[in-house]
Amino acid sequence: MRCAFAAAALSAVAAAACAAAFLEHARELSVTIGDLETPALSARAVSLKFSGTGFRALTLDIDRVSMAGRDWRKVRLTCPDFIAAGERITCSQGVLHLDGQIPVSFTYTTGSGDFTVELKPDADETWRIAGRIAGGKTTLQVKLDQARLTRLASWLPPSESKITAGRASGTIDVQGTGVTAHLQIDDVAFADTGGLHAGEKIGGTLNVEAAQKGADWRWSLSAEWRRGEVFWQPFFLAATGQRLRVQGASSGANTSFRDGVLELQGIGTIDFNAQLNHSKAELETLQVRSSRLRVPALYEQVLKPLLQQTSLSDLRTEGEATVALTVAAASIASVDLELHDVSLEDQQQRRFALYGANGRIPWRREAASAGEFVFKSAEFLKVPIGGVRIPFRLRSNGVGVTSVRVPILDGALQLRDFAAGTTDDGWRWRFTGELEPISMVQLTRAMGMPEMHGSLSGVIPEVRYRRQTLAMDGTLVVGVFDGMVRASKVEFIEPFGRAPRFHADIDMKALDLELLTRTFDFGTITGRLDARVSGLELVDWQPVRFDARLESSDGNYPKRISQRAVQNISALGGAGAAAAIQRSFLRFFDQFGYQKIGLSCHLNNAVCEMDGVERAPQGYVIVKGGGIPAISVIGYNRYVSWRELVERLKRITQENVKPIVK
Amino acid sequence: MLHLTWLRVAVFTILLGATALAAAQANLEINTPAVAAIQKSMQDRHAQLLPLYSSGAVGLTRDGGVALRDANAVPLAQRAQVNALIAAESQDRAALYREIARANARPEWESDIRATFAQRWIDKAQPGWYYQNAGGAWVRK
Amino acid sequence: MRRRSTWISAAAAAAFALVGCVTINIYFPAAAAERAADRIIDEVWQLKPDAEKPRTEKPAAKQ
Repeated sequence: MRCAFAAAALSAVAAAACAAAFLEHARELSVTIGDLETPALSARAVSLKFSGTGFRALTLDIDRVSMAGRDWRKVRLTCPDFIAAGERITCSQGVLHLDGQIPVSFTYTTGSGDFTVELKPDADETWRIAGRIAGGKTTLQVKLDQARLTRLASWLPPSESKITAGRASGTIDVQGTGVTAHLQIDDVAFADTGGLHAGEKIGGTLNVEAAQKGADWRWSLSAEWRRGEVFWQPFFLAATGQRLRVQGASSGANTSFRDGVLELQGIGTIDFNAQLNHSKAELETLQVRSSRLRVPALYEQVLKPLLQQTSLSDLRTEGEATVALTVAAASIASVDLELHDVSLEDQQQRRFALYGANGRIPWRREAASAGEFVFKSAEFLKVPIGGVRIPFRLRSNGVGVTSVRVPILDGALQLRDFAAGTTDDGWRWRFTGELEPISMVQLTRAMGMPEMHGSLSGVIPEVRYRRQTLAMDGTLVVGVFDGMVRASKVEFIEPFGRAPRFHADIDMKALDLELLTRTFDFGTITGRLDARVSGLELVDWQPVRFDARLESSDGNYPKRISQRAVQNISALGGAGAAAAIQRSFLRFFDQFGYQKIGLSCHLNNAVCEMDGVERAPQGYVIVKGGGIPAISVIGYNRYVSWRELVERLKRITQENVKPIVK
Repeated sequence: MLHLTWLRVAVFTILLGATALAAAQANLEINTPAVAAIQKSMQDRHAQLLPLYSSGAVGLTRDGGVALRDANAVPLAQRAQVNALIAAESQDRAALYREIARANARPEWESDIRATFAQRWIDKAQPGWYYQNAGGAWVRK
Repeated sequence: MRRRSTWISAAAAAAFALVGCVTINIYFPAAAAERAADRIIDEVWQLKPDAEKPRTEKPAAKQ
C-alpha cells in the first residue's frame, strides 16, 4: 500500500500516522509526504517508514531541510520504540542523524498540542524543549544543560565576530509574546577575522526579560561578567565581576537603552542612556555620567593597556575622577571631566610627577567654556615645581590661558597668552613669558648635573609650535655664570620625534671663567669669556654643524690660568702636548698669566676645523701668554675629528680626578 | 675653429655630467646621527617584532611599513602592545625614509627611498612572513 | 668675430652645464638606494652578525 499526498503543514504527519493504524497486517508501511513548506521551514522529499513488530520502528527521511537560511542534506530520524497511542505520540530512544548521531526523544499530544523534545548531542549536553503549540497562546520552555554555543553559530546573523567555543546552561521561557531567560555561560570564546575584537574563557550570568508589543520589543537585561578577558580594539579588559543592568525598546529601525548602569568593580559606576540606529549602525544619542571613579583601578584595569609604549605606561596613581559625555546627532557634543585630588607619578624613571590635582574641564562642541586646573606640586626631570592654579578658556578645538606662574625652585616660569589648538596639520600652540631668577646651584643639583653657579633668568619671546616645529621669535636671554647667554633663531624640528633637530645661534657674553672652570673641573682660569656659536645644528642632540668661537673678553681683570687648565687645553690638541709641559721647568709653577685665550671650531662633516687667537708658525695660538710667568699654548692640528675631540674632552674630565705625577 | 670649441664644450659637459652622475651613483649618505638614532630604535624593537612576523600577526606593507594582519595569533592581553609596536615601528620607518632623503639634501627622493625600502624589506623577509603584494593582498613568503 | 665665438661657446657651455645639472637633480640613484637599504635592513634585522661595522669614521685629521 502506498499513500502519497503533498501536505502544506506539519499536521500532515499526524494524518499519515492515523492512516497507518488501519493497516496492521502489512509488514512495512511507507508514507511519501513529498515537500513541506512553512514560512520558517521547508523540507524536500520527506518520507516515513514504519516497520518491525506493530510498526513501532519509525524511520523519517528528509532529502533536504532548510531552516533560517541553513540547509541540511539527507537528514534521518530513527525511532525503534515509536508509540502512537490515542492522541499521544512518543519516541524515547530516537536517533537523529545530522552531522553525526544525536540521541533524541520526543512526545506529542495532538489534541492539546503539548510536546517535548530532548536532544543529547554529547554525554553531558542536553537541549530540552517543552511546550504547547496553540497559536497566540503558544508556550515554550527551553532548558539547556552545558549546551554548546558553537551549535548556534550558523543560526546567528552573519557578522564579523564568530563564536568559537562556549557552553550555556539555564532556562528560556516563552509565554505568548513574552520571553524570560536565565542563563549561565562558561568558557565562551569569540573572535573576528583580524583578531581586533575577541574574547576568551568568558563566563558569567545573563538574565533577559522581553515582551513583544506590536512590532516592538520591550526588554530589560542584567548581566554579570565573572571570568575571562576581552580585547576590543584598543581596549583590553579582564573580568572582575562587572555588572550591567539596562532596559530598552527595540524596533526594526532602532534600539533605545534606558536607565543603563554599568558597575565596574573597584572603579565605580557609569550610568547611561542611548539610542542606536540599526540601519546606520551608529549611536545617534548617548548620555554617560560616571560616579566618582577611583583612578588607580581605572588606570590599572582600563587605561594602562592602552598606554603601553608611551611615557604614561608606568604610573602610580591616586585620586578620583568623574566623567560625563554626551553624543548628539552621532557625534560627541560635550565632555566633562572633573579631577579630585589626583596624583600621578612616573614610577621607574621618575621623569615627571603631579600631586594633588583638582580641576574641571568642560568641553562643548558648539560653545566656548571656562575651566580650571589646580595642582599642589609637581616634578619634572627631578626639578620640583610648586603649586599652580590655571584658569583656562576652552573652545571646541583649542584652549587658552591668559597668565600662569609656575614656581620652580626659588624662581618661577611666568607664561603669558598661552593658546593651543588643533588644525588640519596637527597641534599648534604658542606662548610668551619670562623666567624669574632660578638658582643654578639648586637647579643643577636637582637635575643631577655638575653644580653650576649663577642664576637662570631671562625673557622668553614668542614661542610657536606648528607643523611639528617649535620656533622662537626674538632672543632668549639667560643669565648664567654671572654673564649673559642669548639664543636666537631657535628652531626645534620634530621635538617629539625620533631624531629631533635643533637649530640656533647662541651668543655668550662675559661669562665668569672661574665659575665655569670650577664647575666643569677643568682647572682654574680667572677672567671672562665670550663665546659665539652660530649656525648650531643638533640632530638627536648631537652636533652636526656649527661655527663656534670662544674668546677671553676684552677688559681689565686678573687673567690667570692654572697649570692643570693649561694641561687640559693642551691635551685638547693631542696627548703629546700635555706631557711636554710636564717635562719642562714650567711644571714648577702653579699658575700663569695670560693675555688672551681663544679657540674656534668650524664643524662640518664630523670634522672640526680649529683656529686660535692668532696664527703661529705651522699652527695657531690658543693661549697667548702675558705677565710673569707667561705661558703660550699653540695648537698644530687644524682638522680634528669631532668624535676624537669629544673623546679627548671626556678623557680630560676623567683624568682630572687624579693628578698627574711624573 | 668654432667646431673644435663646440666639441670641447660638448666633451667637457659630458665629462662633467658623467662625474656628477658617478658621484651620485656612488653611495647614498646614511651615516648621520638622525639615521643612526632611528636605526638603533628599530633594531631595539626588532626582538619584539620578530615573533609577530613569524606568527603572521604582523606583515610588511607594500609601502615600506608594517601593519597588523591577524592578531588572533597573539594572546589577548598583548594585543594592545602589538598595536603600540606597530605604531612605533611605522613612525620610525617613515622618519627613516625622510631622514635619508634629508641627509642627501634631496627631500623629493623620500617616496623613491620608501619604495626601494619596501621592496628590499620584502626581499629580505624570512620564509613564512607575510607581505602585501602590489594589489595590497597579504601573501605568505 | 673670435671674441663673439668665445662668448657663444661660453654661453653654450653654461647652458649645457645647466641642462646637465637639471638632469642630475631629478635622477634617483636606485642602485645606491638599494645598497643603502640593504645595509640598514641587515643591521635592523641583524641578518649579518659578522658584517663589518659600517659606521666607520672619516679619516680623522691632517696631522
